[in-house]
Amino acid sequence: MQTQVLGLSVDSKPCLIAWAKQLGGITYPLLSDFFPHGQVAQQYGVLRADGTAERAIFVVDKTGRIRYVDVHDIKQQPDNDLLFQVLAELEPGGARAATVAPAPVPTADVVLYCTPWCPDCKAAKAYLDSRGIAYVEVNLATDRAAAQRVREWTGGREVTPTFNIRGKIIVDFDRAKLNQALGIA
Amino acid sequence: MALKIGELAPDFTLTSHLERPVRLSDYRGKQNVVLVFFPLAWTPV
Repeated sequence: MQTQVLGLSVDSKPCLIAWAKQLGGITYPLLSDFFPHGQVAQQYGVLRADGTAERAIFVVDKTGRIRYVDVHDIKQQPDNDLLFQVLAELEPGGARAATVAPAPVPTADVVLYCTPWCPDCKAAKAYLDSRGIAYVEVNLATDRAAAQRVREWTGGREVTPTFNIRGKIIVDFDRAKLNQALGIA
Repeated sequence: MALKIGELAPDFTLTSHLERPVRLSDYRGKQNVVLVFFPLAWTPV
């Protein structure tokens, strides 16, 4: 697989050199996002208030476009199988080379396709809650078969939130369309 | 999150621990890139 891994942190270079040595010769470049402090992390929206970066993974394809984002808890390790799955999807015909068993397609009346870090998803969920509407939430970061369905509906982009309301697809948090599909004012 | 899936990844040039500048757009047309952001490396340095 033709993939280059780049590690980024807000450490200064001498600190990274020491760390690479400690890890026993690392095989990918560790980049220092040190001056101006955390500039790249900020551009990617993963600079935390305390000045360090989130633990985050971005997959950038050969055309320079972002194809996958995973921001996870600082104590949690990334899921390697999932990452390999995402990388396989980038290869021609790669979506079929599934290494992760697909989750069953939800059959609820209202299904919400989200990612854990998407602000519009949080707003959409709060809205549905406030209207007392039950829904099933699907996480696109971990359910790649679901991500594939969303790409088919949107013409290739993993827009979150995307809703499936009894078969009617609504892309993005569009309150008017949502109300119409739900039959509420 | 300011960035969305399908958007162009912001380009950058940073210096690596191998004393070599690395530019994201240099990989365009050649390789997929996985960017892994770490918190601080926590070394004794």
